[in-house]
Amino acid sequence: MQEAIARDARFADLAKVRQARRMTAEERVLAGPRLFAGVCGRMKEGLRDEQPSATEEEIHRMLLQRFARLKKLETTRHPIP
Amino acid sequence: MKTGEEAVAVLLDALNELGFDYMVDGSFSSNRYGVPRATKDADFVLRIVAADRQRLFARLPDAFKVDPQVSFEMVTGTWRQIIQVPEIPFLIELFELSSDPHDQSRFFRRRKLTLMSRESWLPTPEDVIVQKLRWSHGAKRSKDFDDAVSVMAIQGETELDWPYIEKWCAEHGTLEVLAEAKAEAAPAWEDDEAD
Repeated sequence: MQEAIARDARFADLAKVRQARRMTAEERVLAGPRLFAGVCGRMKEGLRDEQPSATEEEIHRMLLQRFARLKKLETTRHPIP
Repeated sequence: MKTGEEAVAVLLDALNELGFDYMVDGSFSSNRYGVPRATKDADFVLRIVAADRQRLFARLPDAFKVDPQVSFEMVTGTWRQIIQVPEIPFLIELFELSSDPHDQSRFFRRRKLTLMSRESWLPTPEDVIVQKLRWSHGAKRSKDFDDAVSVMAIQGETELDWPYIEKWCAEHGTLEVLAEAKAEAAPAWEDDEAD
């Protein structure tokens, strides 16, 4: 089972490498912020589910709070050397 | 301002118009050379004096909120400035070029490339690998290790200047983590050979 998992993981990683090689350098750079924009969209959907009566401004503020918490977690767990 | 890429484009235009020396660092550079991943921030290394910082900020639109608090990095003795774009939410971090030997070397070796249809300065893929391994070792962040592996995988074994990478990894005490990263990237190189 462990071998199958490892094999599947390697296959998935190789698939990502092949996909990235088919992209231009510009496409690879733009993918970063665009993927993040997609993440923000999905997080906002989750927040709207949690807080159906919240305004878009409140949803956006909650999103920023979540990212602030995440940033705090990152800097606490991995202090910059 | 609707997207992180717009924010980066605005900053690049300002830096280019002012003629400042800079380098796009962090995940934007590793994404260019490796397997892209989502990124919520853009890092820039700048070689400018304090007065030039104010000139740069004066050029930026109101959507850019410059953190009034400049932080001072004790280890490198350099400043770090955060610019937020709350609408989107995206973060831009500006770092002063330090006197650290590898920092100096990678800045000297930076390349003028096209990024978002603009002339932009980026580190070489070798320097991205060295820097990411250094951070991976020092800060124990798996994403830095993964970024180094992804750059190796995409660039290819024969395309990289390994003596250069090994020289700096020896300086930084990261030869062991370099070996681990190469082992992780190797299946992608074998994939090349199979083609």
